[in-house]
This record gives sequence, C-alpha cells and structure tokens, in this order.
Amino acid sequence: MSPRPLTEQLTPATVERLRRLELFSRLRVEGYLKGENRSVRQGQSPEFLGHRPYFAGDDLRRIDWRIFGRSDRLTVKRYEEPANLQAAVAVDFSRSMAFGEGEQTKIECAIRAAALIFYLAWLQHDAFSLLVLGDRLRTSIPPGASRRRLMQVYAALVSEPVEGTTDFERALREAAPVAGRRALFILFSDCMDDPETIARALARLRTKGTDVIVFQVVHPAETDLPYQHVSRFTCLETGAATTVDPLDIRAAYRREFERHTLALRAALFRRGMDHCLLTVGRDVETPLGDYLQRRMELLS
Amino acid sequence: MISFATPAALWALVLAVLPVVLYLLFRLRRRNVDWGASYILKMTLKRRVKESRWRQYAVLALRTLLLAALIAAFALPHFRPRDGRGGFPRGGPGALTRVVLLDNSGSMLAAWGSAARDTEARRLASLLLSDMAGGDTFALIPMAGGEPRVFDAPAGPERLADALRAIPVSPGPADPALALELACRTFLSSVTPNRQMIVLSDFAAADYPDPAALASYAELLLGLGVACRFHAVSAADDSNVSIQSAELGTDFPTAGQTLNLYAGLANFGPRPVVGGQLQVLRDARVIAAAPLDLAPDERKTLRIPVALPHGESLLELRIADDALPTDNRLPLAVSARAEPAVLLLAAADDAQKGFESETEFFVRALAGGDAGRVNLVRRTPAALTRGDLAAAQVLVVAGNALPPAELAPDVARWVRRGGGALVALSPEMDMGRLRPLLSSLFGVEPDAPNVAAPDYERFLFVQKSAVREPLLREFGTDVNGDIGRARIYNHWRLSIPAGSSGPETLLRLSNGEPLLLRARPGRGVALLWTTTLGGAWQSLVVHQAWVPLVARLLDAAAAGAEPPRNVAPPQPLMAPVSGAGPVFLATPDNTLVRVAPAPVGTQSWMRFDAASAPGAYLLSDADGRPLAHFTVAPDRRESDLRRLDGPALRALEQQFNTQLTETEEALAAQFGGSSPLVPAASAFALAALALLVVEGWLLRRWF
Repeated sequence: MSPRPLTEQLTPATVERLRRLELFSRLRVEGYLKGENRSVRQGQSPEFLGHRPYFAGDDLRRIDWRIFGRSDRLTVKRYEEPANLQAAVAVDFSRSMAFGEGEQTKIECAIRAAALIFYLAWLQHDAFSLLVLGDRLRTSIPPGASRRRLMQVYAALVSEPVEGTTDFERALREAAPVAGRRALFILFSDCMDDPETIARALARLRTKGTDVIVFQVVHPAETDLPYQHVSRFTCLETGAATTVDPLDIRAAYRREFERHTLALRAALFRRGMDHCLLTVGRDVETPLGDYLQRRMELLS
Repeated sequence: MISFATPAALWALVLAVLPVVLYLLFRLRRRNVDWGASYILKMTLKRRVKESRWRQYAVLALRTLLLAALIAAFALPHFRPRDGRGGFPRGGPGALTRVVLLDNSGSMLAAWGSAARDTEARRLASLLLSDMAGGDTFALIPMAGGEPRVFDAPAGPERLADALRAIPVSPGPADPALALELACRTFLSSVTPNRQMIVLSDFAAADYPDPAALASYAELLLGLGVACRFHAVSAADDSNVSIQSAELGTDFPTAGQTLNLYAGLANFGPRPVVGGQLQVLRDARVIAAAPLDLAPDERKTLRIPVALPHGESLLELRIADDALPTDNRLPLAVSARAEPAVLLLAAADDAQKGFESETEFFVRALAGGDAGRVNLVRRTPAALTRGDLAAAQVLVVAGNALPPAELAPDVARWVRRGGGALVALSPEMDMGRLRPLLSSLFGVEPDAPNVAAPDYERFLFVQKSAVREPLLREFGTDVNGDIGRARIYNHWRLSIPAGSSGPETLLRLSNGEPLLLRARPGRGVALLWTTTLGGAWQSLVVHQAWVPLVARLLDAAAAGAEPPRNVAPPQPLMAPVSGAGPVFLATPDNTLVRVAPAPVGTQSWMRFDAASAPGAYLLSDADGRPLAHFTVAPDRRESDLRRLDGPALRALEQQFNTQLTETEEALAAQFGGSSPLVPAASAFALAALALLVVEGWLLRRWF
C-alpha cells in the first residue's frame, strides 16, 4: 500500500507554504546555477552493478523493461552510488528567531536559505538531513536524497513551531550523533549566546571530520536599534523585560553587537569553522555559493 | 543679594521642571517591543546601566538649570553689593546733606509685592543712608511719630538697622508738614554744597489731606538748593476693604436677648467686593455672619443679630485678609447682664384708668418681645424707699407720680452714681416737684403743654430723618416698625436756662421740639420723655415700634450702671471690682499692667488712663481669673490706601520741582547716575546659552 501523500498529512495553509517554498527554491537555485554557469548535475556517472527484483516505491525509471518484456518479471537496475556529500542542515527554531514582521523574520529567512540548500543538495544527488534545534534536538529527519525526502524536510520546515528557548550545548550534543560522518553541517541560527559556548558545542562535530558552516541570521533592527522612544524590551524567549531609552544606549548597543559577532567569528575560525552573516531582507542565495564551494573542497 | 524687577515672571520657574515631567512622562508612555536579541541588550546594559542613569540625570539637571536661567533672565534680575552699599549717586562733588523722610504711618503696613510697603521703604532708606562719606550729614526723619536721627559720621549697617528698628509703625496718619519742617531745620543748619531730600512714602490721600499746605516748605527747600525726590512705595490703584467700626445697638446688652450688632464697613477701591462674608466670632467660633457685598468706594453698615450668654464676651468681627490685614479684624467687648431691675413709680389709681393709664401700655410692652423678662417693682410715690432705689437699676417715673420731695436728693444722687431714670410727663404735673427734678437731672425747665387740650385731628409726628443716635438707629430705618407713623397729640415744651448746655435730643417732633432727651449726670443716664407714657397724648403705644422702643429706652437708662467696655482714646478703662486687692490688665502689645483699685463709696473701681494701644484688653484678678474685657478702638483713617489723585499728585510734584518715581532704578536715575543695582539679565541669558552648548556636547559624547 502506498504511503499517504505528504500533502494529506499537513494543513492546507502549510501545504500552500510548502508549495511556495518549493517553487521559490527551484527558481532561485536554477537561476543561481545558470548565473554561475554551473551544471545542474555534478558528480560521477554511476557504474552498473546488476539487477534486483522490483519493490513497491522503487523509481520506475530504473525498471529494466527489456527483461520484463522477455520474462514478464519486474526488475530494477542497480548502480554504484557515487561518493556524494551528506549535508546536515540545522535550523534554530527557538522563539528569538520569530523576531521581525510578516515574512521578514529571522526564521523565515533561515527557512528559505535552508530550503535552497536542500534543493541544491537534491539536485546534486547529495544526501541531506534536517535537524530542528531549540533547547534540545527537537526533530531530526534522517539523511536522504529522494524527492520524497525533500518534501519531508520542506514540510518540517514550514510546520515546525517557533517556540521555546535555545540551549546550544544540549541541542548540538544531541545532534552530533545524528549529523553523521564526513558531512557538511550547516547551522542557521541567530547565535544569541556566548560565542565560546556555541563554538565549543560545534567543535564536537569537527572531530568527526565534519565541516561546519554557521550562518548567523540577523535582523537589521537588532543590529541598529533604530527605536526613538523609551521602550520596554521583552525577551521573546524568556519574557524578561527591560525598559530603556534607545537613544541613550544605541551607540553602545551597536558596539556590543559588533563585538559579539566578531567574537563568534573568531571563536569559530579558531576551531576551523566558517561563519557568515545572513541579514533578513537581503540576499538569501549567499549560502548557496558557500555550499557549492565547500562541496567541491570536500569531494576533491 | 539678588532682586528682580519683574518678580512676577518668576512664577514661570514652575516650567523649569518641564524636562523632568517630560522624562517621567516618556518613561510612563513607553512602547513595548518584543525583542529577539536580549542577549546583546543584556550585555550592553550590564556595561552601561549605572553610568547611563547618571548621565541621564546630569542631562536632565542641565536642561532644568537652562530653563531656570532663561526664565530668571526674563524676570530682570539685579545684583546688589553684599554690604548693602547701594551707591546712589551723590549728585556732585563735595560734602552731602541727605535727609530721608520715612513714612511710618499705618497705611505703610499694606502689602507691597511679597512684603509690605514699610519693608520696602526701610530697605530703600537703608540704602540711601549707607553711602555716607566723611563730611556728610545724613538724617532720617519718620513722618508719623518717632525720634528723628541725624548721622554726622558714616553709620555701619548695624547702627542703621538699629535706627530703623527704633521707628515704630504708627497706627495713625503721617504728618508730612511736621516732617518737612524738621527737614528744613536740618538743611538750614547744614553747610554742605550738595543737598538732597528723599521722601519714601505711599502718598496715601489720608496722609496728605491738604497738599497745598506744604507749598511753603517746598519754597524754602528749593530756595536752599535742596534736590527733592519723591518715591512711592504703592501702586496707583491699590484698594482695601476695612471694618471701620463695630457697636451694639444697645448700651445694656441683656443675656439671651437678640442684640443688633452694627458693623461699619468701607471699600476703598475701584473694584466691587462680591461674595465675601463678615463673620462674628466668640471664643474662635463663628456665632453669626452676614454677606459682604460692597460697591466701589462704598461705606455701609451691616446689622447682624447675635445672642450672647450672661457674662463677659470678647467678640471679633472678621473679613478675609487683604492688602492691609490689620483693619480686617475688630474686637468688641460685651458684658451681657441679667435683665435690669426696673422700679416703676405710678399713681395708686393708675391701674384703674384703663386706656388712659400712664403705665398700662408700658407694662404691656415690658411683658412682650425680648423685654418680657424685666424685673419690675411697682411703687407709689408715697411708698418709695431708699432701699427700693438701691435695688433698682432703672427708675421709671410715669407722669405725675414724682418722687416725694424728701427723696428727690436721693434720686439725684442715685442717678449720679450710675442709676438710670426715665421720666415721662403727663397732662397734670406737680410743678413744685417737677421743676427740681428736671433741673437736677436734665438742666431744663418745664414750660407748659404744647396745647391746652389735645385735638385728635391735629397732631405732630416723630422726625425719623433726625434720628442720629446710634442707640435709636433702628427707628430711623423701620427695622423695628415705623416710628414716624405714630401721632403725638401733645407734649410739654421745655426751656433751657441761660448758661446751661442742656441735654442732648435723641428724638424730635415734626415741629422741631424734643420728644426724647438724654442727660448724663455723673455716671448715670437720665431720659426725659416729653409726652405721656400712656396713650393719652400719643398713639405710639399701639404701634409696632412701641415694644422695642420701651426696651431700648430701658437699655439706654440702664447703661449708666457700668462704664463702657469699648472706648476710644483717650477715654479711660473703668470697671467695678470686688475687694481692694490689685488687678492686672493685659494690653494688646502683650504687657501686663498692675492696677490698684480705688474705693468709691461702697465699691472699688479700677481705672486705667493709659489705654492708647488699639485692641483688646483683659482685666484679671490676682489669681488670673478674667474679670472683664475692654477694647480700644483703632484709628481707621489709614485704611484708605489709595494714593493722592492725579491732580493733587501733580501739584505736589510741581511744588517740589520733582517727579514721582516708583522703581529703584528710576529713583537712582534721578540722582543723575547709574542704578546701584547691577543688571544681571544678560548674565543669566549667557549662562543659559552656555548650558545649552554643554548639553549639546554631552549628548553627542554620551548618547
């Protein structure tokens, strides 16, 4: 019996979001690759290994019709899988990622960027997995390279609630075994924690031979503190509130943000990890280039 | 020391707290922001919170100071040198004779700005007298009593302060003529080339009743080369409401009776007084009140009914304090006594005469109204004894029921010692006994009845318009019924012997002849009613006014029993006391005077002749028990604070070849130099600008 279609498991709003995300990903990735003069498919041609019986769910394109015509038996061709990449994409779904308005939120930016990575990976026949982080590893979708897997991760991205606090230490500790070996670990998060703590937690992944890229998602309002009036700032994660006059502290706040970002980058670089700023409302294709570059380095 | 030319502008200093108010307002009206970068915010505040708060407070303080400096600049501040040496210009080289005439009359206690006129005048006097150099002669002459002071050597601030303190504020008006005469004498004996006279006064009209009379002094002073300066410590439109007088409508206040208290009020000013209240207080509690409505420049008398318990009462009449609070209160001492003991002499058959009875309507009047509680003893002349006289307070002689001849001297002596007599005449009189009685008590001679027989178609009436006596004021205004409607059919004519001043006439008939007369033999009171006490010759007995008139006549007659409690200088304070021991009188200026009573006949009397300070006096025995209250009426001439009118003021200025000044700067300018005050408005404005620059720099640097 065929598994239920994915769309039947989701709400209509989520289905709509999913379709939009898929369309967005396809258009953006293909447009990016065209612009970069890259081939859609990269990788070695697979070597024929023989036949095996057909099982429900196998790709119909793999069925050897000549044998069916001769023997009236359904068989599929077996090929040696090329040595492609395994990309583990972790997305921070804590409440602080909800900052922003409408579709200009940090989480929306992270979802779109992650979606592009997933789509490109699928095009490249790379295996990809999704890790949803919060105060722990909330959800994980194991590696896969099929379109079905792609739809699964997209569905998870659009339906996962943005809630709770962030505990990088615990979440990444739980994510490490799932991330796999010889993989590319991509983290989308606002990194609102001590830079050393984040870097140490991520360093565990490096010991398994995994490359790590951290995309720090920032909102322009969070970097600039553009408010003019005395305001009560309520933390999205903990609910703690502070009343300040932004005019009084703006300069110091901006310096602190910059200091934090530099400290995070330095901590990651020291441990052989990459850091990139992803600003909400700006170019989300940026991670694609980094992904492809890293893929090439890893596979060469 | 700093002063302000327009101190009213300092009220705007309230606005200086605006930055603080806005700061608090903005903090209260904060916006709510759900924030995703709390970690960064927390780290920022950890580094900056304390220093941020102090910086905020520093900027707030700077902004408040800035506003305050700006507002103070608009109030035109002036600095004065610390030692008070104002530096009024000397007017030329050489030694200087400067005479300062200081108005210390009662009107100078009126408010002037935040202090009093007197305070400002003394401050200016101190300034004017403090800049003395060697060879100068300075003099200070009070214009309303007090010793003039002449300074032959520079006087330090303390000596000047002492000299000014020694000048009291007189309750009465100033005497500018006397002060100018003293000033002229000072200049006549001076040899300095420079001469200045400065008059510091409010120039109230009451102090300068006849400005033209000062012309001779002006001529002399100008002839001596004296530069005259007039400086007013008053505003041209100052106004004042005053309680001018207070008295009871009876000389014999009876306990429990409704008494009419008459308060004389005056509004000296161009603005009406509306909505206020005159209160009567006893023991600090309001016992009566009347609305206070006065038109501009109006004087009027308010009648306020009060009832008082038996014994001593010190009432206080009060209105709201205004520019001159000293005349907004007035004490009134009242000794409310039991009803008087009345001894009625009537013929034996009088009671049977019905309508023609001499005493029937009189006795009925005693029984009705508030006079119903009188102790009445009836006697025929034959039955009258000395004991009856001694026990009575008022003797009423009804018609021909005259005291027997042998008792006539006793009656006269009894009246002189404080008794009261009401003698009413009738158609038939024993002239042999009448003449001595009228002569001894009233100093008049009886002539004859006006008509031989009354014609009830012809009559006279009481002249209401001629009622001047305060005791009978109600009968001039219909308050107690219309006395003018009564008909007087006949009366006795009287004649006053040559050389005698005669009694005072309280009521007149329409032909001008007296109806009611009052004499004061000794301490007593004698009233002569020239018509019948009954209805034979007059119809007043059946009018509404008859009952209150009888009560008033008895009060008037009984008033001699005790001396008045409310006096005006130089009347003495007198009261009977029991025992021969000393008594003590507390005066309004808080001194306690020991008074030894003197025996008079069978009683001791206290007498105090030095009651000149206006206000309430309290007589107590040696154990401190209060015996009696007295009041000495204040001099209210100074209640009119208004300045001399325009023409009179201009005439004065012309006489003395000067121009009235109202500000210190203008006065200094008249001396031909700069003001002793250093203007500081520009300094404050510069300070505000500097604060603004500093604030801008700090904002850029800190925030």
